[in-house]
Order: sequence, then structure tokens, then C-alpha cells
Amino acid sequence: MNKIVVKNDQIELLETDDLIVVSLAGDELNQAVTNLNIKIKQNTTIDIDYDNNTKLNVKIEVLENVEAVINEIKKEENTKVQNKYYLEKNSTLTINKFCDSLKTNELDIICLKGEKASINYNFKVISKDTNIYNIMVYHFNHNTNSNIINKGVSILNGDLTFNVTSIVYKGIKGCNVSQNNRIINTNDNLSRINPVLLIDEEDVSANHSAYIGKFKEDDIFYLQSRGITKEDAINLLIRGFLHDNNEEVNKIIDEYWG
Amino acid sequence: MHTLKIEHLDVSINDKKILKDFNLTINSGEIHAIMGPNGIGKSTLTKVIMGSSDYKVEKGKITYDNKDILSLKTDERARMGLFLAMQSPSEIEGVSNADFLKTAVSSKEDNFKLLPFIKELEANYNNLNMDKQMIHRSLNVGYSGGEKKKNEIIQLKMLKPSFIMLDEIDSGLDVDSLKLVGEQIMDYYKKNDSAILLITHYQRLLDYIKPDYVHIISEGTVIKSGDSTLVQLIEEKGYDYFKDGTNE
Repeated sequence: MNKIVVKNDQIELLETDDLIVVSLAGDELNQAVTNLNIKIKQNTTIDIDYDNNTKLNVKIEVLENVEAVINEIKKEENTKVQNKYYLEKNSTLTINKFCDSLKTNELDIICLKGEKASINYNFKVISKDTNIYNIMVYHFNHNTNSNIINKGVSILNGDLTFNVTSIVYKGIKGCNVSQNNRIINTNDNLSRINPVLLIDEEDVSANHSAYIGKFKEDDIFYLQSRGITKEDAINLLIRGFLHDNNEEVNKIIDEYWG
Repeated sequence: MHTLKIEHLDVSINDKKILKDFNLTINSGEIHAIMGPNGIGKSTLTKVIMGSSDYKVEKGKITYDNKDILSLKTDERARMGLFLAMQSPSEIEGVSNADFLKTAVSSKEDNFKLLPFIKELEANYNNLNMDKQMIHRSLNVGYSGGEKKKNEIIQLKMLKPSFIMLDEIDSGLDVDSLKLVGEQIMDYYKKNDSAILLITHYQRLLDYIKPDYVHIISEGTVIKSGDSTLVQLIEEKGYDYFKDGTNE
């Protein structure tokens, strides 16, 4: 188990099991941006908490045959973060990511380098201003798997964009590619989902689903028919939509809708 | 003593009239069964009573204990004591049965206490032969048809309504589960000053929940009312036999 805290561009390794290697460097081209490099050598979990203004490039490498979990919570005002994930042969990375966000423009690049590498990407966001999340998944090797699940709730003056691109090159066979993007709008602002599947190979299983809108009237009616007011019914549905195994995440959700 | 009264009710959806000049009065201590072929407005009736916004009430009124309920929201009607066990209950991911019922019960009870609530909930799961672990599962998600119907009855017993609508509660239930659900509903009915309006296609549910009145609906209105002997006649003759309204 490892815990990293990022606050005002300062990075602290609060806890480590020595199954990862963490290094820091300034960006040669842009001194205002910090580079955080993490190499995961053996099966482990990393918790990363972000707070306040941050400009950061994160590079995470998962070595061969390693199964790793990254739990990431962002409670911040303005951040610009770029994450790059490199997965070697037979490695599996599960990313559970939660953002309580004012304004964010973020790019995550996932490179499935080794054969049978797998990424499970579970992202949830509460958007209170303009939030843009770009996720690129490159299947560089055979039998690699990507399962991208994005859920967002747009509140107050929030709008939300998910740009999700999955790429499989010609000759890269046996890959499984999946995208599931859902945004619940509690306001009338414009949110967007741009799911892109660039598949240049026939031996691939690829699918995506996307939904932007309000909750189903039938579900609200069902809850109201049990005596729950419409407002409480919607709160209950949002809590259910964002519900997480991480109690810290559920605490944040309860602060809004509990 | 409670009374639900429907008078001269006309209801439409997308400009298509579903109920026409519909009249019915149900008092506490009475069980009414509505029977009829598919697509003639049986489920519509229960949803209109519960306040679904899918339907437009064009004419007539519905009162509960002399209070006009058409102007009330669905949740207000529920808190007055109306309950609809639905034919196809919603599946809601992430909302546990416990959270859902806690929110629902506490919205009715000013003096809500968690411990008695948990004990009563567990007892109701036991009574309906449901695994108690399901209390913490997402509402109706991954449930079989029978489990969904049993879950509706658990909600009924927790929310303690005075007017109960059962919309095809028998569909999806096997023989043993049907008997158990029927007995649980009758147990509640007898112990509480309640009324039942049930919708079914089949006689088998009526072996356990015996109606005092049976109404046959055709083309949006009641064409024949009688006692439970009418059920046997329907089984023998079918609904077409009553269509012209002259057959006894």
C-alpha cells in the first residue's frame, strides 16, 4: 500500500511498501510543470490524493505480470494534469478515479505495450464548471484489453466533456475494446461525449455505449410512489449513480446529496 | 375507515383515450379484482391513481377519504397511504434496498428509529424466504421476476399503506412463492384497516386473495361487476362473452 499526496505542486510520499519506485523531475521545457514518475514493480495499491492548484505530468509504468490498483481522488480548484500509463506484458492496472471538480482539462494516455496487458479505468466526476477529460487508449500489442467506464454528474454551472479514443493498429489481433460513458445533467448546460473507436484490424471485439441526459421518469415515479419526494428521489439516484467502494468518495458524495 | 372513489374518469395518453367514464368505489375491508384482456387500461388505472405523469386525466375525479388526490404529487399520495405494487418495478443501480426503504419509511415517520427499522426489515425478508444479504444489494438489479415481486411485498409491509394496488403481482411467481406472497398480503390485510385493488389475468392468485368484488373492464370502462363467482364464469366463457354487456 502506498499513499501520495499532491498539494500546490508539492508531492509527498506519505506511505510506501517499497513495491514502487517514485521519482520527481522538473519539466525541461516548462519549469512550471512537475514530472512525477512511478514504476510499479510488484502487485500493490497506490492512493493518490490531489488538492488545490496543480500542474503535473505523471508517468506510471506497470511492469510484467504485475497487478496494480490506483485510487485517485481530486478535490481541487484548477488543475492541469497529464497521466501516461505504460503497461507491460501480462500486467493489469485498475484505475479508480474520482474528481470533485471546478475547472479541469486533463489528458490520460494509456499504452498497452505488452501482450495481454489490461486496463480497467473507472472514472467518476462531479462537474461544477467546464471540465474536459481526454482519454486515449493505445492497443500496441496482441490480446490486450481496455475497459473504460466514465460517469459524470454536471451540477451548478458545470458542463462536462468526455473525449475517449481507443486505437487498435492493423495486425494487432485478439484485443477487447470497451467504452461506457454516461453523463447526468442536473442543469441545462451542454455536455458532450465523443467516443472514438479507431480499429484497423478485423480480429477485435469493440463496443461502446453513451448516454447524456436526466434520470428516467419511470425510476423517479417508482421512488416517489414509495413516499419519497422528487428532490430526494433525484438525490438518491445521483448517490446510486456515483456510489463507490471507496468510503472517502462516498463521504464527498454525501456532502452534496446525503 | 378509508374510501377511494373514482367518478366519471376519462384518461388518455398521446390523445388516445384509455379510460372512459370509469367509476369505482373501494372501502377499507374490501378486496376488488379488476380483470380483462390485455391493453384495455387495467394497469393505466393503477398508475393514474398513483399519479403517473404519463397519463392525462381529461375528466372526472379521484378522492381518497373525500380529498381530491388528482392535484397531489405521487409522493404525497403515497404518504396518504396509497401503495402500488408494480408489474415491472424499476431496477436502480447503486441504490441499496436498505437505503431506499430507509429514505421511504423516514419520509412517512417523524419519529424514525434505525434499529427497529432494521429488525422489521430482516423479519420481512425472512417471512418472504428472501436472503437477508439482498437488503444491501442494488434495488431490483439482477433480481428474478419472482424476487422483484417479493421485494414489492416487503416494501408494502414496511410502508404500511391503507390502500393497496397489486398490478399482476402473480406474474413471475412459482406456485410456492405465489402461495407465500398471497398469504403475506392477506396477513397484512387482515391485521390492518386496509383495502386491496388487484389486477390479474388468472384465477390462481384469487385462490389466496379472495375478492369481495370482481370487475370486468373492456374498452376503458367497467362492463360487468359481481362477486367472486364471476371469476369462474370468466374462466369458463372468456372475456368476449361479456363484451356486449348483456350476459349474466
